[in-house]
Amino acid sequence: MQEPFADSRTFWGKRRYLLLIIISLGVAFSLVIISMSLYIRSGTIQLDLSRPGYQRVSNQTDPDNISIGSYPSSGALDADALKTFEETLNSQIKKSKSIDAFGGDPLNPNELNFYQ
Amino acid sequence: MSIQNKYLIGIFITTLALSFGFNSASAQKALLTPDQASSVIANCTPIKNRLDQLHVNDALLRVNRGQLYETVYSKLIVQFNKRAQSNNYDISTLQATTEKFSAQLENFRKDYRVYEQQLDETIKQGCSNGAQNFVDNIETAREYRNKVYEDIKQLNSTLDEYYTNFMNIKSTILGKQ
Repeated sequence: MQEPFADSRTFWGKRRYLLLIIISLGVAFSLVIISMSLYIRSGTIQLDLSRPGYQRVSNQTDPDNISIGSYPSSGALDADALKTFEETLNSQIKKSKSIDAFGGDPLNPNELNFYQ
Repeated sequence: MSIQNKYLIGIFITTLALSFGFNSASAQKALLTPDQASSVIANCTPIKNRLDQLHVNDALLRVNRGQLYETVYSKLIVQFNKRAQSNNYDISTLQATTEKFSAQLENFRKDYRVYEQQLDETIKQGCSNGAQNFVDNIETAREYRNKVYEDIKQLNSTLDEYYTNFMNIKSTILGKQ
């Protein structure tokens, strides 16, 4: 004879909360793997200066590089508009040449003192 | 001559050409003398520290340069082209230079990625695979870094070209007004 309050639920039916937690963890873990692979494959990791070891230079980024306003893409092209563009472009060109970026030869064996 | 013989000769020539290519590529990297190899092993930690320093400094340089060129491209050049075009001026020279700049910017991104991965791998491996391997890895990273430098020079040169073209168009526009 069956007991009056016998639990007729299945194995996973009895462990629904455990199942919910396992599925949630699985989904979260998969999303982390996908986002990390995108982060690495896209090259974003190489631009992330908040990584350990890069924090000491993260405050040396040049905020002026991104703070310049966008040149209006519409409107008449009169002398003033041309002058504004010329000045802004010229200042950026001068800036781009202000340092010899990636110049020099720091990986030269003599620079690295290989054979001393 | 039978078809089979032609195939055999073809395979022979290809193999010869490939082996010659590999030999000339590997010949570019100098072999270390035993003294040099032991010196590299002895200096391995300071060399790795210097590479680490360079790795961090170049990352900062990449971010600053990248932002500068991206800003010039998207906030200035592209915007000006749109405006000139909407005013019905002939900007074919500016557009050609803009396309060139865009392609060079993509090369810069790609070449830096390759260089960074090589330098990162070099630092991680260190001298664990021997002095010769370490030196070869550094030499490869050096070649990749030179490519990035060439990209920067090309980008600067294209910006100059754009500026010259802009000045020509400016005088044309002002002449008409």
